[in-house]
Amino acid sequence: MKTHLHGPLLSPNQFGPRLLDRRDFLRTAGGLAGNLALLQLLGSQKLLSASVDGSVRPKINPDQPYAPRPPHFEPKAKQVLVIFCVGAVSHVDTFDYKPALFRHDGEKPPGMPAVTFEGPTGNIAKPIWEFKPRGQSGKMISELLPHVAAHADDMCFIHSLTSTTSAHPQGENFLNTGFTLEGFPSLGAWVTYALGSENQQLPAFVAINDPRGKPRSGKNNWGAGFLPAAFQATDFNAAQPLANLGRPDRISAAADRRAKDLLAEFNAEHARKFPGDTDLAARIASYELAGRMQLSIPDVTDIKSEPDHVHRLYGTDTGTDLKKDYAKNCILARRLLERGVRVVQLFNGSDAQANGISNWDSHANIAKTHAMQAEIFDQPTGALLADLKQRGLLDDTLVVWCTEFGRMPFLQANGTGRDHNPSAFTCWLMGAGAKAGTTFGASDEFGFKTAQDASTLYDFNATILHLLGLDHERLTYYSNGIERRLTNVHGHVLKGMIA
Amino acid sequence: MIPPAVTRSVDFETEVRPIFEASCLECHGPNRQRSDFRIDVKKIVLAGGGSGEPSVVPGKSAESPLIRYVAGLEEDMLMPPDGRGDPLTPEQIGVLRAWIDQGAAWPDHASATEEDPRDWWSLRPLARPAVPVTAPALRHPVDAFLEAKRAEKSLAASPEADRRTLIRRAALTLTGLPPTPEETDAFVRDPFPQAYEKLVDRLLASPRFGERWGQHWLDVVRFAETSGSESNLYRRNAWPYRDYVISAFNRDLPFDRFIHEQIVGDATGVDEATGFLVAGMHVTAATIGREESAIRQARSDRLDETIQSVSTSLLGLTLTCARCHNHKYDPIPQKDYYSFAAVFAGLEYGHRPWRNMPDAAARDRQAAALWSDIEARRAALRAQQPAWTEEWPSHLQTHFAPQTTKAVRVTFPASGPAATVDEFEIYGAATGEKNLALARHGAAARAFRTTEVPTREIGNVIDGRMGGPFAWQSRRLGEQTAAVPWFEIELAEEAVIDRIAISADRETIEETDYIVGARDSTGPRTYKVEVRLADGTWYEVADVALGPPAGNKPPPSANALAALNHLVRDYTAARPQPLFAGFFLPPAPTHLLGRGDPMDRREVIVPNGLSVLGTDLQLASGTPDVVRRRAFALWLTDPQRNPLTPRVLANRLWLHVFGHGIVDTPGDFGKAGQAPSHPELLDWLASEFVASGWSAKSIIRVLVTSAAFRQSSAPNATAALVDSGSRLLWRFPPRRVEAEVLRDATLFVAGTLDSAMGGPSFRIHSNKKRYEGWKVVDNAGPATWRRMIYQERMRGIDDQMFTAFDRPECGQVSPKRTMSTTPLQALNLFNGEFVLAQAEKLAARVKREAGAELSAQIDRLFELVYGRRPAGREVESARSLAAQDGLSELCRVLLNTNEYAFIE
Repeated sequence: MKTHLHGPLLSPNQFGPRLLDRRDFLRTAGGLAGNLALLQLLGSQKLLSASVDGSVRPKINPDQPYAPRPPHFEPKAKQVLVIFCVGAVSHVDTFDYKPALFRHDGEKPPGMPAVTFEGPTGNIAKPIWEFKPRGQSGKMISELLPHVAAHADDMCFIHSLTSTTSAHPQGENFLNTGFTLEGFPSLGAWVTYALGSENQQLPAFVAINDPRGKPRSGKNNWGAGFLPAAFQATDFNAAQPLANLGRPDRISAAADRRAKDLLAEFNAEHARKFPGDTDLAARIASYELAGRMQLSIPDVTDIKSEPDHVHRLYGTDTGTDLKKDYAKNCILARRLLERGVRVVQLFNGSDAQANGISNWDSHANIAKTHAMQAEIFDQPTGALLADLKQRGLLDDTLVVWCTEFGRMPFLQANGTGRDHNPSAFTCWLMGAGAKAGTTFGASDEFGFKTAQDASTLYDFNATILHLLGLDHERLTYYSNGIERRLTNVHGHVLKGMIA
Repeated sequence: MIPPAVTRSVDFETEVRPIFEASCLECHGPNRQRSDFRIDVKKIVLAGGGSGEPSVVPGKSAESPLIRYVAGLEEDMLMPPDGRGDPLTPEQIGVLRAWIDQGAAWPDHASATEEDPRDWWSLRPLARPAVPVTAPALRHPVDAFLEAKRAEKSLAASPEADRRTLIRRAALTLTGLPPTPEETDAFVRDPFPQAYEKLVDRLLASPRFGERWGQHWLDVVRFAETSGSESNLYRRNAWPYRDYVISAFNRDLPFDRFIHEQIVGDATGVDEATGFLVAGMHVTAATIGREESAIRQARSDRLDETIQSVSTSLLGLTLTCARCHNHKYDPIPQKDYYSFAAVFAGLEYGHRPWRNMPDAAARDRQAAALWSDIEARRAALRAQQPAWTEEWPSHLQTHFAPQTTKAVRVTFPASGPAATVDEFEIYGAATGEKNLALARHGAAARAFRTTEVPTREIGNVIDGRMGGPFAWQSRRLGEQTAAVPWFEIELAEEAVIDRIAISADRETIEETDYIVGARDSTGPRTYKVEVRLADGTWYEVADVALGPPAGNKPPPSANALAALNHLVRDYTAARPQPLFAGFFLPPAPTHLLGRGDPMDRREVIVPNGLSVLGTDLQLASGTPDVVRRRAFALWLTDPQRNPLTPRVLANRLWLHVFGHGIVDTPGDFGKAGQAPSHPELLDWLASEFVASGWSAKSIIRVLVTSAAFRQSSAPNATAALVDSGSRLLWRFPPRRVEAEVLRDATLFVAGTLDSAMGGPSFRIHSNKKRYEGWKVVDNAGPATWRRMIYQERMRGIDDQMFTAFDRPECGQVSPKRTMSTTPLQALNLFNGEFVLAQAEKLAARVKREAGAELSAQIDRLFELVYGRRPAGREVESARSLAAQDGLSELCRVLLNTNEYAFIE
């Protein structure tokens, strides 16, 4: 038993593909379920959890994969809301004020590439919307997003982010999983793998898709990759319930109850032949959790139960249909966070189109497309931020606003759209742990490349994990030869963004 | 500024080594090798550690990274780092510089030696260990090996499982389907001493075997039918590779040949086998963009997918870790990665003709006959009219009387629908199939205006790349009219021409399926073709004005042109169909890429296998593609030169029989992987595998006839304390079945399974637009009641039912499935339409077979689902529910139970 605490048992490979496998679990636990108290003691002293390379292994009971688990260190935030604007928001038209663009409007800037993602480039274009100082901080934010801008004093902006790709699906993957390729665990999967959840009646990680559908890289944005499937997000939104959640129409409630009871009876009888088998116990527990979710998910998605003033605040009854639906998703996000769901990922934009707009991508006529997208996004998101703040949820909740890359300070050859810019773009943090009312890093005078504190999305993700009490270098999982991390082999916590 | 070199002669042992030992050795010595670098090994310092770059360049101290690091000239790279010791003094740096400038003399005896990299269990030569002698002697070699290990831990094997359990276990393991009640009864009552062996032989001979074991192989190579990424386009005819794999397992194709065909089957008449090489994802051109760095990166990523498939599935090595630097754990220099890349430098993702498709000979005959018909019709038409336009399925061909010219102009209407042209081709009788319009043949294109939509410049129509996303357009989006649009192709030299081909989105029509509206976009319907005469004037050779597209099947017609259009469609259908199995081009030189960056090309690397095994395939950077791949395949399957492949494969066969591998990291036999629980047994099995002629069925037969497989899975508290995971096989380890087994078995017991094998996958998704996700429309209806291996496999798409059961999504290779338990599984199985519908079918079947009496029905139901009769309290509980809520509710319950979902 002792050797389990130092030697081979803590080598990287022991925990890989069979995290929820009872055999590994029991072996890790010294082969003795009765020693759990000892294990917890050791775990709290980080004796058991520290392996040779410093990785921390969350100790996951297969019966309860979503049970809350301790972070690596005292966290600033206990929950996280990730608001992802799909399609690449133009930083120079929203949060990153560049007066030089007015002065050089219509000119060719020095050092401009002849070809960017979509082809030949055009001339510099000034921001399409007016910028105004906001709040005490005086942060210059454009009139495209007035409701969101109202929270400038609570936000910490980063203007010096870079991505490694200028293609959308790869950019989504890179932002959300740390790899441009598909099949790697998403941020939410990593976080719930590490921390479980505070609510055992709801999924630990919920992806609220845009009313139009899924983003370009689809499920990869919230997938579990090679982590056990238990840690992928459950995706539903205010309009689309979780598949197979409800009792089938053709079965009465009473019959359904009796079927569940009989299933429990048969499974219990069967388990008696295999005493102590946690695989069987885990499957029994999963049916119980499913039963609880059948009650709790309809409850949390019951947006109609919210009072009228809340609906007015979010704007569920004004504007375009897309905006109304997105506003309901914003209310849903708040309701999930209130109930302790660990990670909520809220999408604005999708691959599919409705009413002539699919997402923030704006290769032609950016003035029109960004305006259409902002109409959907601005009021409901501003209301969500206000609501979270007013309810005190920001004390424990980190809000992350992100987009996969920025857009160019110059137009494309067509003269109306801005191409992708992975060399400098803006995201922001708000709430628990974020350094409110400040700006970190800077892009150059045109917003074309980074100029100060150039940072990668690895850094950004490392910072998010840090605020949740997780060390991005120690949150690892063995997969096919490598201790994988959200941040690959990169990343530095951006201390300048932390309160 | 770097401190200057001292001006005296410097001695390594008395002056340099002490500096290394005092300041560097702690992190870069025998105990730790940060960044894979050791300062005490001469070879590493002079030839490179993890980064692959030398730290010391003799004679050039100012350029030597070592000096740059200790002098703090490289950002964030000051050595020793902050907190790890004081910076070197200028005097010390001066000593190091002088030593380097004086030639970096380093006596060999003063260098530590690394361990012999080949001295690692998986890389050692394969030898056949003797079977251990046990007391009492065990008849089965596998059991003898296992018993020796069990005895060390004072564990004993369990008694043989009862026959009902055994037949179910064997049937699920070998075929992925449960036995029928009749088969179970027959086996239980079979008095023949070899009854079990007979059963195993029957199961191995069943075509269901290949459907079960083929899936294991498809998992490893993450086979899917779509490209992945944004458009996630369906790869037309990718499924033949799936059928090939199933058939290979069913035929027990010797595995060395199986490997050989998957690497170089294009040269051995098995076209579909090379689907293996392109099973991973690839990003389509439209999503890559136009930047050179992105284009190179995407190419490099495609090759990486191939290298990942080969190294994970066959070598059990994580070779792709060496893409940017030397492997962190294993003796794989970065150069090896690019040796593999060079082997596949001729490979490109895409289609090529499926020459050996079923009835190939008959199809060839038919195509030849149709072609003579076409030629005859054309000759007849030529006599009647100066020009005509044929509507081929993917493009249009305008034929006209031969013209001698150096330029062709095409003009489109100023109003009406805009014209889209992805490719334009020019041919002449004398030049045959050579497309004179190609830019690479010296042609040039220009159009009526020079500023175009960025992605749609006119050069795209002669770049040889088919596909709508980069097609030229006669009008910009939203534009109602333009000046009369035209483009001109200037040929390299004057030629006699008599035919042009024009298309709008040929790639989509020829190479993908299920895209909304694709087949209507054959090409522009209205255009004029002119040639330039010697005097510079333009002469019209064809004025084309076609009606609306006729769709797939234009009606037969007496009209000569309509008949010809009919023929060209039949001809296209008769010709070898495009097969998604990669295509091959003359390989360009392969460069090592500094830190994996495709823009940082370093030295040229020749194709080769693993250097640690002393491999020399004797290939050069100019060796033709097929020769490279053939030599590589032969090396892969030669146990004398490469002991990894048989070990890796033997371990995989073990994994799928016992639920865990002898090495439980089946894709990683390196230092970060798991050590084998029974190394001698693995080597014995690998040797046996080679000796059997690489027969997978032989090895599987050996495994399932062992007492280890036949023993009971009942728990034993004492043994569980010693070996809770049953890795030492003191019992058969029970496990949950995979998604496919759950689905297939449910159809099987309900009596609804359609056992038709092979061919195009059954559909569960709707057609989609190019940029749109696939949507599941029917994952439960009768059209889906085939085995799940035939379900269309869209990369990264949740099938809304069984993906929740850890079914791989085919993004990354999956050497071993995860096995998790989630409430989504419970919801899908308990409430999903699939199980509900099958529960009703099962109830109907039971009533049909057992008659009207409820207790007989319940008996039959238990036999079908569990292979046993109900017992004890079960009888009354089952009866009560069925009586109250109907038999199908009872079926629903049974199909959700643990007993049904586990192999015991």
